[in-house]
Amino acid sequence: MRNELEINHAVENYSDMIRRICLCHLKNAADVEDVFQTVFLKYLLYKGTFESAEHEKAWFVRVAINACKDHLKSLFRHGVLCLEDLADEAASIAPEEHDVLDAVLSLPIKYKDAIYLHYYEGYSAAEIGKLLHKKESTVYSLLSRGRGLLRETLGGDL
Amino acid sequence: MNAENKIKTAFDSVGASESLKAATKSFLQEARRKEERRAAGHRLRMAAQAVCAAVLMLVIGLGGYTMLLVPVSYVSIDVNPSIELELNRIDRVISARAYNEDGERILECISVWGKHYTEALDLLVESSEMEPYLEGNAALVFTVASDSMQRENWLLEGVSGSSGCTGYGGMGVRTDVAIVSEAHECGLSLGKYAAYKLLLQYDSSISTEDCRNMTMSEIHGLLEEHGHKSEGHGSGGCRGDGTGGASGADEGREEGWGGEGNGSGHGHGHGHGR
Repeated sequence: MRNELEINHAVENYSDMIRRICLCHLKNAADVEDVFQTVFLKYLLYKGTFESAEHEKAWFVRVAINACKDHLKSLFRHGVLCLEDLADEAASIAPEEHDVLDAVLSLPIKYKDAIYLHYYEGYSAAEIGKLLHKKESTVYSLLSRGRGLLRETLGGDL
Repeated sequence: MNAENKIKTAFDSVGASESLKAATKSFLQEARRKEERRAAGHRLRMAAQAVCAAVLMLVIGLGGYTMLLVPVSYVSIDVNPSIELELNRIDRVISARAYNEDGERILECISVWGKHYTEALDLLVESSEMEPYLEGNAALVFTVASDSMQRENWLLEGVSGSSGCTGYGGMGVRTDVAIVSEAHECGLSLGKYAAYKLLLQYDSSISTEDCRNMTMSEIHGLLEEHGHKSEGHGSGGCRGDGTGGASGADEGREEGWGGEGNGSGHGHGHGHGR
C-alpha cells in the first residue's frame, strides 16, 4: 500500500490529467468524481513499482481509461459529458476554447482518447498504441479521422 | 494557432478543482485506514488460524503418540533367548528388545515391529532361529504385564491361542507391570526377572546375574528343587492345561508365581506340564 506522501504527490501531479480523461468518457460530474477517486484508490493499493515518472504517468493514463470504460459498462451508461454539465468550468472557459472542447468531447470515444493523448499529453502514435492496445497505424488513422471530424465541426481553421 | 495548440489550450481550462483533490485525499485516507484495519484483521485471523492448526496438530500428534507409540503392555518370551515386546494400546509391537545374545540373534533375523502381538509371538516361536532352543525339556514362558487387569486377561488369552502355547508347550503367566522398570534396570526381561523374584523367596543368595546366565528351564528346575508349589490362581498355563504340551500333560500342574508385592492381587499362575 502506498504511503500518504506518495498519494499526495500523485494527486497533485495527475489530478488534472485524470479529470480530463474522465471528461472525455463520462456523462456526468458525479461519475467523474467516482472514477477519479477509483483511479487513485487503485494507485493506493497498487503493489508494483514504477521504473520512472513516465512509466507512472502511463500507468495512470491506462488505469483511468480502463476505469472509465468499466464504469460505463457497469452502469450501462452511454453518451458524453457536455460542458453545460460542468457549470463551474463552463463559466471560466473562453468562447473559442469552449467550442473546441465541446467539439472534442462530442467525438466518438475511440477518437477522443487518441486526440487527447496526442494533442494534449503529447504522446506519439506508437506510445498511444501501447497505451490503448492498438496498432500504430490504427492510431494514425484515428488521429486523422478525429481531426477530420473536428474540422467539419469547427470549420477549416483547425 | 494550430490544431495542437487549440486543443491544448481548450483542455488547459479543464482541471481538477482543489475541492475535488481535497475530497479525494480525504477519501484515500479513509480507504487507507480501512485497508490497514482489514490487513490487521486478516493478520489476526491468519495468526488465529495458525494457532488453531498448531493446537489441532498437537492434539492429533499427542493422541496419535499416546495411541501408537506409548507402551502400555509388555510380553516377554523366555526360553534361553530372552526377548521382550512392548505393545501399544492396540496391541501392536512398538519395540522388541533382546536381553541376551541368543535373543539378539533371533531379532537380527526377524522384524516384528508394528505386528499384532500374537502374530509377533508366532513369528518368533516358529522361526528357525528359535527352533534349537525349544528342543528337549526347554521351558518356553510368555510373561504378560499391563496397566489393566482386563488387558492382561485378553493378552493372556491371545498368548494361550498362539502357536507358541498350542504347538510348543509354552506357558503364559502374568506379572505386575510395576516390576518392568526394575527388570530393565537389572538387564533382565520381564519374564526372567519375575522368575528371579520367585526364586529369591527360596534362595536369598541368588542374584540377577546368576539368573541372566540360566535358561528358564534351569530356573524352573531350581524352583522345583525348593519345592515351589502351585498357588492355583493364575491364568492357567497352556502346557499345564494338558492341551498342548509336547511333553505330555499327565504330570501337568499349575504353578502360582509368588506375588510381587504390588498389592493388586495379580496372580502369576501358569500351568506347567512336564
